[in-house]
Amino acid sequence: MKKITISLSVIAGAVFWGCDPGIDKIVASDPNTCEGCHIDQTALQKYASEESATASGGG
Amino acid sequence: MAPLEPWEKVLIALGRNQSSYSDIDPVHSLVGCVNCHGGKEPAGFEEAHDSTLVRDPSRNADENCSPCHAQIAETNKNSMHTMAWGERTSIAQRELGAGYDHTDFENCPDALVDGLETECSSCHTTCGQCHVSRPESVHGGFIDSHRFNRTPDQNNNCMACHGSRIAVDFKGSLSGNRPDVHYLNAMKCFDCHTEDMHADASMTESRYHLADLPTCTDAGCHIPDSGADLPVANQWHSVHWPDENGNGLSCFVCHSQPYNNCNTCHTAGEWKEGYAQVGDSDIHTGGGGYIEYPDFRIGYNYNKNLHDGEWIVVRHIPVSRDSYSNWGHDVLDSYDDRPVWEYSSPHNIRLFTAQTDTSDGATCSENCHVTGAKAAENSERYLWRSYISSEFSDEIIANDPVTVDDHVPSGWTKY
Repeated sequence: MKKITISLSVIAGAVFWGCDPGIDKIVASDPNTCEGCHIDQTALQKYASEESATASGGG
Repeated sequence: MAPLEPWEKVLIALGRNQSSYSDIDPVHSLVGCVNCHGGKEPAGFEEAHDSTLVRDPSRNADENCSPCHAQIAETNKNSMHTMAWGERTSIAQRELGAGYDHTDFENCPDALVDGLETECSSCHTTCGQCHVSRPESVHGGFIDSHRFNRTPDQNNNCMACHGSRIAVDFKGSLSGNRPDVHYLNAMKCFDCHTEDMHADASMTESRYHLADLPTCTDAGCHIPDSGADLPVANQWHSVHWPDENGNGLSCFVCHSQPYNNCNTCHTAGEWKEGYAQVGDSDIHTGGGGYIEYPDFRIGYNYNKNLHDGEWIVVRHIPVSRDSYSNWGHDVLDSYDDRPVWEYSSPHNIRLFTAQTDTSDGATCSENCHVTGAKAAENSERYLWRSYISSEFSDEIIANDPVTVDDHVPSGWTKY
């Protein structure tokens, strides 16, 4: 049981290490991270400029 | 559905006690933004949003979804939503002839094939447009702060595409209508639509050919003669319930209210011009002659292998002989081979409708049969050749199979 627990911990750690983009802490307005801007409404209101259009209504 | 503001579309709104996206979606946050969306991180604004940035990574499901969702991503490539098999069938039949189906679509002229693969496929659809954001038809936007929802959101996903007909029907938005009884009982799309949306449907002509499509009798909901405590065991059902010989009425004939019909859809977005939300008024016009209007028409069921009953409800669908002219295909060669008034399943079901309401002392048959004092009034519920001739003179041959003239009882007045 102990071996299994250790193995799972190692695997989980490896997976997390492999996927982690390397950002330890997200700070709103941090211009260096995607999430820093995308959690910041003020920043998005300033920069988001995608053209809005009328909805189609669909079929 | 009004589009979101640009900033709203991409806002990851953190709730109380949430400090990052990982608190919203702990699993998908492990992947990291740039691993799906491209771009660069860390970087300044311009560099972060460089040419490698992908707005909807699930357009490339093989690369971005399959590593974790291999089976679903594989079968979904050929699902009804992704491939729009029914649209391929309808184009093939109106171009090549009635005996063709979706498997023949590739034999249509290049302009049709290329047009569908580009314009239609831009909305039919990606994993993300059902599970992360609003679909392209309403110009996107996160639904739950980029959380991947296992079950699509009824308003923001299902009804964003199935808006002008299903949503309008279901919510009772047409003037004079009431909401569907299932809607009032808080039933959701997926309470009935339990079919596998990701299944490979490449052998299926249209959604109505799906084997696991919902029926009224599913899950024991409305089983005829199953007990006096159920409203389905009554004299009207015993007379009109469809049987295995192709007699009887579709449930919709008695229990639907008027529903939206559409005319003259053109491609290249032309139909969207001037579109207004249904509910403000009953008639909506767009570019290229596109128009929406409420109507209710009972037609003849000429395909009893596909639909139950001799009598069905039919809806005018948005197609015309030159619908694809903007794709460079001026006229559909076999337009007359398929009715433009097609079988319909309006999602505006009520026990009492104009057909079944007897509160004024009239009987059901007096509300519906084309006999007696109300014959002229009731005749407007049916699809007659005379109606087609006067209102849709270009569709006389195409709609002949669904017109009722040759099939109504001998004692009925014909119009």
